[in-house]
Amino acid sequence: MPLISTQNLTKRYPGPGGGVLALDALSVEIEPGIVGLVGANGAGKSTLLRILLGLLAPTSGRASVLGLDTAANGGRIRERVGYMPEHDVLPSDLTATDLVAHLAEMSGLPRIAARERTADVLRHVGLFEERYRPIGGYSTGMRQRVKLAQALVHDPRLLLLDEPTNGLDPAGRDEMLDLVRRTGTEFGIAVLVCSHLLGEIERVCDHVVAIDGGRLLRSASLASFTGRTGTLIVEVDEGAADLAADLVAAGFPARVDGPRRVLVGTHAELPYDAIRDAAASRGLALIRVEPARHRVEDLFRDDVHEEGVRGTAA
Amino acid sequence: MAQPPDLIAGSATGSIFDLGYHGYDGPRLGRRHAISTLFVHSLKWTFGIGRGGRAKIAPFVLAGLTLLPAVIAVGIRALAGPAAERVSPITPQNYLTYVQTFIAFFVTAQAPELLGRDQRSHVLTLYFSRALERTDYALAKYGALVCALALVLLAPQAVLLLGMIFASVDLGAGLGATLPLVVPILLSTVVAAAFFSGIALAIAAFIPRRAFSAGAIVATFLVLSGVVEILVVRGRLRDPFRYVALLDPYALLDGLASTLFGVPGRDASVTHSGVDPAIFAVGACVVAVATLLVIVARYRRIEA
Repeated sequence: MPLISTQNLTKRYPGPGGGVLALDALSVEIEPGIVGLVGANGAGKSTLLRILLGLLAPTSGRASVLGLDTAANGGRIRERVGYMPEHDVLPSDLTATDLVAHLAEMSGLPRIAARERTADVLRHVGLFEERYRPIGGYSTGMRQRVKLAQALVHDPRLLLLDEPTNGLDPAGRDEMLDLVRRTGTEFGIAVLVCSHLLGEIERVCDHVVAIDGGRLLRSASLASFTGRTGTLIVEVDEGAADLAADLVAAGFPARVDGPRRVLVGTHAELPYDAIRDAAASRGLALIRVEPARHRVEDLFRDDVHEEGVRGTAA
Repeated sequence: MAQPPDLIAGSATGSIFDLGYHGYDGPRLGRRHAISTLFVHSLKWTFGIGRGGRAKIAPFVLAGLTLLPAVIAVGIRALAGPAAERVSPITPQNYLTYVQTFIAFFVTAQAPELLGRDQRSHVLTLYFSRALERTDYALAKYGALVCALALVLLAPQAVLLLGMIFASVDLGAGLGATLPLVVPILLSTVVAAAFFSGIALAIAAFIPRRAFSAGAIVATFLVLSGVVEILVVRGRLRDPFRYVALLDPYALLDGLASTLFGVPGRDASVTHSGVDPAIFAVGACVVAVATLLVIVARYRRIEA
């Protein structure tokens, strides 16, 4: 049984001109694991999460979580699901300990267990002495940790994380992603993490669901994503055309991309040695060799990307 | 031999993380536990318990002011003896009407604390993504304020009753005079607490900003009672306009007390309108229920 499944899920927010169509007949099945939900801002990610929690009723269609229908069993779903919303939702006058323990009881945990779990979970997300101070004085990174802690405190079977790295600096982003990955891999909690940054999803997820304009773009394992779009960018200060020609001659799909860049496909074997040899034999200065970055844009303009590499391979 | 520093640091963070997460296999008490916890939490919150010292000032000062007339009345009884009946106008039958302004101020101070604060911080999202239902939230908050206010009001009436018993010459006669008052006191206090809390919470549910909602609540009580009383007393209203008196919250309170205790009303809106006090008592109950429905409806739709 899939962890999450939706059938023709549609949500239209009322408004002028027919309102806003946030989800458009979305049908998807999601298996346990760490799953990334990618889409640009406004793609319908948050709407989907809120429907899965039973917080929002769909206009039409059905959804089930943990085998329970969201319309009929919202309460039972929410007991076993942790939700980290995107926006700031923390009262500033409570301490992290008081807030998280209170919310643990709201999830049905007895008082003493709620206190114990709160101490465990706050330590787990990396809040130590600060947890006895009012949240009003916390940095954005600490607030995000509190939000993650309240989602974990009742030991959910599924975590729904909405943009968990929102507003974090690079170091904080790394730590949060690390926490998310540990939560999914070491504690056996299924995770659905929303992001508009495919780079983040790549680092933590093993499955990706991409949505755009409320419709399913693709649902596939991360490996299949990178397998298909795997491209190296090679930058040289001159002679890009020569390098491309040498690489094609050596049997690699390569194509000139501007005067100083060559794109090399990595389908068959890794072309690093060939690039090095070609550059050395031609006496070219290699500036950088890096995998092409996967961004949401790439995913949504996939045809362009694929056509580029396939074109050279032909 | 000491370990290299990086190893110590590494194992230290490692051990912190290794301790970090355990599953939970204990009992899950679900929605009922969530409701009762939120009720108790909100009840304590009303009195500033678990909050800073400043949060305790308003509820306890108002509770003290509500107690004051009872203490004075008991003092007069102690000094004047049996003649007190004529000296002191404050009796258990009309006690609530003497402290009606303090009741209004109490709900003005606490209703925005109970509802507006959660709306401003958006923490409602975290409540509603849990075992608790939206209706449960509204019921727990309403129940908490009604209960808090009932406690504040029952304390002085208990003092008054005990004072009457101990000031009476004959203990048996004292008990005989006061015991029949217990049930009407409980009933009138609970209904009064419910409709005052309901009005305040129904307003606070729509106005998240504390200053604005407190202003709106206090204006509702003071302006409604003042304007309606002037209309009724000066307006010489005829049917059906004299029923305008039912809009005066203090008149509802007075009608409620005089109906339950079987004594004449004191409030000008009641006496001048000529409307049966029992209708005011029914009005108080209707307001208590209607405002609860408004609050529940508001929380079923509120954005979270």
